[in-house]
Amino acid sequence: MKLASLSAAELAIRLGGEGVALSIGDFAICLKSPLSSVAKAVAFFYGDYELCAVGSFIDYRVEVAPPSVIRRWFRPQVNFSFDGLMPFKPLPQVQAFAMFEWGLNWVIANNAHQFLVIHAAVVERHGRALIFPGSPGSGKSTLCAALVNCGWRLLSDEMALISLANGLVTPFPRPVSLKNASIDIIGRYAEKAVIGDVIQETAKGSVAHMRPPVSSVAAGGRQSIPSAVIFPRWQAGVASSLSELPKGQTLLKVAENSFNYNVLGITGFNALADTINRCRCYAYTYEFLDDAVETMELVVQDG
Amino acid sequence: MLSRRWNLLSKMASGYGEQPLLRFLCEPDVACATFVSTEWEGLLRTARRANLLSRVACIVKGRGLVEQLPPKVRHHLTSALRVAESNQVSVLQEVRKVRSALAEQRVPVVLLKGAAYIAGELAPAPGRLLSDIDIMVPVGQLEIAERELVAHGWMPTKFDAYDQRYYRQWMHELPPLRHLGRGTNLDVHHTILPPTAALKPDINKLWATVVALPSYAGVFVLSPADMVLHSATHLFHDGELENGLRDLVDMDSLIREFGTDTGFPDRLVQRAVELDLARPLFYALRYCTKLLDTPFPEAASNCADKHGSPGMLLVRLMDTLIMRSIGAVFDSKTPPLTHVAKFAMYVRSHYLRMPVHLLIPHLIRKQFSPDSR
Repeated sequence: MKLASLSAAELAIRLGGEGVALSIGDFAICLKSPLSSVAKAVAFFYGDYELCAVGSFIDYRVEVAPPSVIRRWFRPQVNFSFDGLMPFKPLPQVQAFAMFEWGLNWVIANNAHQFLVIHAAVVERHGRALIFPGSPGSGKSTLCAALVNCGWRLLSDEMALISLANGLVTPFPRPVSLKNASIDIIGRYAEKAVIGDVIQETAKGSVAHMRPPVSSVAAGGRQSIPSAVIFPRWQAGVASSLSELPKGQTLLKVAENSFNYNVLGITGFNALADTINRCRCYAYTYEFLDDAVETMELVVQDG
Repeated sequence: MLSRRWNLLSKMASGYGEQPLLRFLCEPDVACATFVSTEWEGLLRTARRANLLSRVACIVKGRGLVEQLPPKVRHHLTSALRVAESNQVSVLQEVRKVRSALAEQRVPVVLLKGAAYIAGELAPAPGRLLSDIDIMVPVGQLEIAERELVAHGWMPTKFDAYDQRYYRQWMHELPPLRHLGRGTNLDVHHTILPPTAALKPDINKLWATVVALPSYAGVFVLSPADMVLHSATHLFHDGELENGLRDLVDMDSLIREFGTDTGFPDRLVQRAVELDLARPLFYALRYCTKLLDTPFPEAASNCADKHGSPGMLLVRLMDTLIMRSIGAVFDSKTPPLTHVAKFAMYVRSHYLRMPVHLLIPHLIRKQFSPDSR
């Protein structure tokens, strides 16, 4: 049963009570929140996700709730908690849904060490996955959003989960987080893109989320073969340019972008080396999304 | 058998007897064979809150049962095993770094708690996570030790003049140090309780029985009995009970490991009396047996009662406070009474550490300073 089959009232009641358990990729995530803004956003972005069966095993239980009664009215705030732990300071309440998204990223990056977790966007075409590692601002989410709107499958816009058991990428499809100028760029680039409310003045600037394609959500249980690692960089006034990177250098750069490379030790090194070995590695600079999509199409056909 | 039944009953009376984590810790084989999905979920969640997830994973692995568990549970335990491995590697590396920093000036180092269990390869080691390395050096060499550590990259984290003076004047340790490059924390103690505390164990007696670690020259751990007593003292007389259940699990493992020597329980009680630590031992035994079924012979246990029990009335009160504070990990939301109990334990720990005329100004100051507690 999909989340969309719950009425708005029922969703709000469940979120405020026992919580709503969603199947997202490999994980069962239960979210509790008494806030109507969160209920609205969850209905908007997560309608296509399957609800977990009652009594099934939940991997992570998270909650997004106001810290105290006073803070419900006076400069309202919101807290993210995971298993009763609060890893972050409270944020203004208008950022509640974004805090759920960021908090969930944190939970996976810090607790799912059955994967090598790389800070990267992952998309797939023809059964081959492209991994875009990148520091914030590199434009990986923008490129990821553009490709997804051209029929590519979204695995994640935030983290590549490389299974330590078989070396494949496990999807974790969620709303794509767009920042600042990217919001309008994607809005103009893809008319069909469903983008939610813009949240102003977060730590990352203005943030809006884009709804993931139904087909990517439905394919959340299917792993993919990593086929290329590409470091994208957006720059005004440059021609689209793809250049091959040496594997050793790529390995070091990806290791820097890994959330749990330190925790995994030699296992992490081996998993990363295997991934880099089976991938072609590139640096890619672009100005226009049309060029970028065309180039990525060529890269994935090559493999 | 009878005492086991009684323990189970008293655990149920405390409301925690049905907790999957406690059932697992008491009887891991039974738990692995019988737990259903919701019990596993509850166990994993509580264990994560109690800082015991890696411990649970290592227990399951040690019994070769990982492969038999449902895939979802296995993923969480696999993840926790990785954390256990990396923690062990970094603790041992840190121990070597501390040793080499202090080797030149020949300052002997006693590892305390988690670092001691891991470097000493003791029963609590598998899956024992720690955020600080605790060490003890002779009080006469404290200044040299601090100078050497600072020279090797460990920097004080509290620069506030009040904190500096508080630690140096009243505490049994230096202000916490953090390594500039690795970000690791180091607590340097010169005794096991503040000089102002009501209990006054003679630190020379602890130094007299320390045990050298063969693989680390110049590095020692406390003797078996002292190790249990230190953990008990730390838990019940020197701090908050944040990691209370974890500390009980440590002591349970130590008592089971050393208890294979039948003379150990009597020696432990005698040593507690000798060091003026009968009270913390009494509490440790009480809550270890209550929650974890720790085996301890009746005669030795009675002897510990005789020397360490504060009297029935106080024991009742402590039962309530301790069970609530330690049991906080079982509830994802903290009930109001638990806040009260935790605050009472916080005040108590300070009260036990320093006389009232020092304590009141300190607590007032901590309540109003920006990054207090």
